[in-house]
Amino acid sequence: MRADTWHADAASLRRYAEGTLGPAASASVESHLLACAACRGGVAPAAPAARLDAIWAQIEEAVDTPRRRPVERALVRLGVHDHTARLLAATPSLTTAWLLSVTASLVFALAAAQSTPRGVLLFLAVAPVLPVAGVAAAFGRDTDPTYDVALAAPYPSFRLLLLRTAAVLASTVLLVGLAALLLPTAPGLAAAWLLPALALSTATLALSARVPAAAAAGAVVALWLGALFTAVRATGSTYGAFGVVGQTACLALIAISIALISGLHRRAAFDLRRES
Amino acid sequence: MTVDAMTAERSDAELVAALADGNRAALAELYARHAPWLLLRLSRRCADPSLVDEVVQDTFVAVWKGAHRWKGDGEVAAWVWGIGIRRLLDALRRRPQAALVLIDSGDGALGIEQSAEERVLLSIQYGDLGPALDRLSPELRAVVQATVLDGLTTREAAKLLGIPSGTVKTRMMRAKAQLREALA
Repeated sequence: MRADTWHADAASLRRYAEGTLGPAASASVESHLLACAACRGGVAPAAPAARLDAIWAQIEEAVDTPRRRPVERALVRLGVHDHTARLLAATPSLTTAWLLSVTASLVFALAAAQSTPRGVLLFLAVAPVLPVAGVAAAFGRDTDPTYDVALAAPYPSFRLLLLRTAAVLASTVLLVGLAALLLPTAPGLAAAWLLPALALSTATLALSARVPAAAAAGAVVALWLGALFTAVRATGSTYGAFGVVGQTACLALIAISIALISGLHRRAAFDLRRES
Repeated sequence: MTVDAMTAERSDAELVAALADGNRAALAELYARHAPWLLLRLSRRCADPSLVDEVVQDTFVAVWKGAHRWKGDGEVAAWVWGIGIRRLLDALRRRPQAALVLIDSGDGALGIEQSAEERVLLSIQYGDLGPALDRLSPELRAVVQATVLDGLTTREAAKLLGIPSGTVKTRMMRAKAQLREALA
C-alpha cells in the first residue's frame, strides 16, 4: 500500500497524540508519519504550541550565537564553563596577537642568549616582564575591550581578575618555559626567571588596585630592571639577581602581594575602583 | 508573510538544501513542519517533558549545522527522526534517571535499513500482526520498537533500554519467535 494513497484517520491521529492509541496502531501511525506530510500536519495541532514556541526561541539563540574563537573552543573542551570561557577569551592577553608578540619577544631573547652570557641575562630579564605586561593588558581601561562590559556585568570583578590573571600567567609562563628549555645554560638557571615572573605579576596585580594597570606594570618593571642592575653591580656576577637572595626576595614579594590582594579584596577595593 | 511565500511551496528536500546555504526562513519552515510530530513521538519515548524539549532543540540545531550531511535521498522526516532519537539517547546517557516510556511496538519503519526477515515479520500488511505485537510482553516490545521502529543498532537499543547488548539480541530472537508463532 502506498503512503500517499492511505491516510491515518483523524481519530487515530488524535488518540496517538494523546497517548491512548494501542502499541501496534501507534507503531503504524509513527511509520506513516515519516512518509506522509498530510498526516504530519494532522497531528501538529495536538503538539503543545507554547512549548514549541519556547523551543524555537532557544534554537534561534543557538543558531545566532557566533562561532567560538579557537581559544574559547579549547577552554570549553578543557571543561571550562561557557560563560567563563567567553570572559577569558575576551582577555586581551589571550588573543592570538598577544601570544604571537610574546613568542616573538622570546625568539629574540633566545637568539641573544645563544651568543653570550649577557644574552642569557637579557632573556632572564625579559622573561618575567612578559607575564607582567599580560596581566596589565588584561585589566587596562585602554586595552580591555570588555572593560565597560565587565563593569556592568553581574559577575564579581575580583573573580574575573583572578580568573584572567591565572589564565594569563598560565599561558605566558608556559610559553616562556618552553623557550627556556632552549637556553644554552644549566636547567637551574633556565628556570631562574619563574619566581621573579610570579613576583612581578602578583605585585602588578596588587598595585593595580590603587593605580591604573599600565602605571602599576611600568613601576614594577622599572623596579625589576633597577634591582637587576644593582644586583649585577653588587655581586659582580652576571646572574647576581638570580641567586638565593634574589629568589628569596621574590618569594617574599609574592607573599606580600598575595596578602595585599586578599586584604584589598576583603575591603572590596577592586570592586570600588571599578565602579568609580 | 513574505517568509511563507518564499518557503511554503518548497519541498522538504529543497528546504534542507536551502539550510546548507544558511537560509533561516527555511529552518523556520522545517521546524513548523517537523517539530510537532517529533515532539509528540519523542514524548512517547521519554516521560520528562523538559528533556524532550531539549532534544527537539538539539535536533533542529543539528539539522541546521548538519544540513550539508543530508544525502538527498529518502524522507527528510526519517532523517530528522534519526537525528532526534540519537539525541534522545545522548540526553538519556547524560541524565540516566530520566524515566523512559516503553509503550510502543514496531513495524517496518521507512527509510531505515532492516533485514528482509524483519520486513516480512513486521510489515503491517499482515493483518494479524497488530494483536500479535500487542500480546508481546513490554520487555520484548520495547526491544522490537527500539531496533525496528526507531532504527537503532543493537548497541544503541541496549543503551536506550539500559540493558546489555546480549539481552537485546536474545529478546529480539524471542520476540521474533513469538511473532512467527502468532502469525503461523
